[in-house]
Amino acid sequence: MRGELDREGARRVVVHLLGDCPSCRRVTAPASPFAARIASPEDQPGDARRLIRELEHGERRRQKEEQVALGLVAEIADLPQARRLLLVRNSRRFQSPSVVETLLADSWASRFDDPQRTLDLADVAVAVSEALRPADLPAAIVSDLRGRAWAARGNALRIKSDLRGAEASFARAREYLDEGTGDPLEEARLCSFIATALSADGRYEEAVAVQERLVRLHTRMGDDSQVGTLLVSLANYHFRSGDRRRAIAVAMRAVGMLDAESDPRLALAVRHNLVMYLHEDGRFEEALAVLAKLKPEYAKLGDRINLLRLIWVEGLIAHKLRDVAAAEQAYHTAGHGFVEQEMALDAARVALDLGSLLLEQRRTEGVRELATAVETVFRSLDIPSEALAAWALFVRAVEIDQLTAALVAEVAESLERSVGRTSR
Amino acid sequence: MSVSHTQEVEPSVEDLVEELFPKARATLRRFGLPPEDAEDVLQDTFVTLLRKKGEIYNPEAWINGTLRRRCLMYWRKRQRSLLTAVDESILEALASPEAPDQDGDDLGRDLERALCSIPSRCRRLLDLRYLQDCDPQDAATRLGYRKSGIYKILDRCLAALSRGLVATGFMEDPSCE
Repeated sequence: MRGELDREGARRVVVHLLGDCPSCRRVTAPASPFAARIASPEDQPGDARRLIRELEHGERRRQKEEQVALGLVAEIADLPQARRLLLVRNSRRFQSPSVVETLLADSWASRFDDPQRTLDLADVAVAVSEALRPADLPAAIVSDLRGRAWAARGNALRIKSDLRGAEASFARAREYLDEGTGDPLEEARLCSFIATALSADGRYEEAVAVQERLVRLHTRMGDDSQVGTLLVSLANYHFRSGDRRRAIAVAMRAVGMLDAESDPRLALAVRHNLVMYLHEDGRFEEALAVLAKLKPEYAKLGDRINLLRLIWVEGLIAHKLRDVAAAEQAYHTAGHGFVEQEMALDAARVALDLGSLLLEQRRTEGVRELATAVETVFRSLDIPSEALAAWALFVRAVEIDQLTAALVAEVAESLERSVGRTSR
Repeated sequence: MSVSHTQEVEPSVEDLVEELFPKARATLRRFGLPPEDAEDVLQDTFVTLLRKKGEIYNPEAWINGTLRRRCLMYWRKRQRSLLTAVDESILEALASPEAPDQDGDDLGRDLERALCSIPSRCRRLLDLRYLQDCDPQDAATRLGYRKSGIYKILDRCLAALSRGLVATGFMEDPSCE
């Protein structure tokens, strides 16, 4: 039961036990890990004084190591990647936990500006972490570092759209964390990367499951503000997976938890999303109620673009509620606004919605004028060829009086696809 | 001195340990880790706390959560190695042409009797594995389980079998006395 027997010995024991020897069973039962183990007062792990001494010693060493690590990472910062990897694998001075941490911090800092550098530095961090020896740190902490490095590598691959590579790296990270310290921060970091990758891959239901785990982890850590932020993404994953009701419920919970003073943009964003979810779920009156409070807040923040998006949604809701005048006004305001901001694709999408409205009103002359105006805008702005082709189809259909709701939907889909490609 | 993220003065190592050590130790006792392993776990946890104190919002909650997860991982690992030993031992014994203390037929009968003591869905799975030479993936197909989940189910069934092997309640047998 303690795992001390060799294979032949283990085989004999198991066979003997299969043969129903009650004496052996009476002896082995209390030692079984399946038996409840009640710790006795003598089982007192740790001596606080000794622990403090060891920790203080470790802290002094770590602070020195951190200073050295900064210099070492700077030394390899501008080298070609192959040279970096060669150095860190072969030169002992690079093989320290602080070098891993510094590399990971630099990798993270590059993620918006330079995806290749993000990946390269994560790869170097993986190489250093794999080279760490047992004397450097306790085995469980080294496992955590390796898990973290592989997780960062996975995220870097996700940023570069290599989702299969990302998944493989996350699997390696999981193996290491399973041998680690149990630190929920590392688990949370991995879950966060995985949820983002699953969402990027369109696997929204799986993203929901992982994000829910992430929320539980942070709840247990007592970090309410982080929970609020996580709920915003969770609501989004629910929505994209088709569960509008859950999306609404989670978004409302997020609204209650987020502090509008410390992060006004996020607090606005979640309510904006809530308007979208309510609208998609047909709860138009509730959507309008939330929307009415949001508009002045966007105006106060000076966030013109999101305000335009909100006005557009206002138009969509008014359209559904058959308030033609309000819908038309909102579409015009949003459309002109997007043109001023040179956001041609968004302007086109609003124009399609306006076109649908005019079509329903049988105002075909209005649709022709709209088509011409948008075509003029498109020629002056740099938009993807797919979007141009889709719009040309729309214009042609209008010219020959063959515009239908189905065609409008097809053109809208083409625009959505080209927006999706330009957003990556 | 209370340890929290809102403190402006960073707590010393001594402050952190004095504040958090008693509850940490109580958590370890609750999970019943052997003292020598508990020492290592405790030290690892505090070392990690110090390395990451800038990121940790609530040190007390973090320590409790970390220790809890680490203890669960510890026991799962111990259980898994025991289950692996049981599984490999049975497979080897069945494959061995001459068992030193039993012949193959007796072993098969003893195994069947042990399988009777476990839940029926485990019995079916282990019957396929040991008595019909079926690997876990094939067993999953035959029983209608997902292949990705079969190893977890196999572990649970092995645990049930192992519990059955060490349980009391059979007739007296003087062979070991």
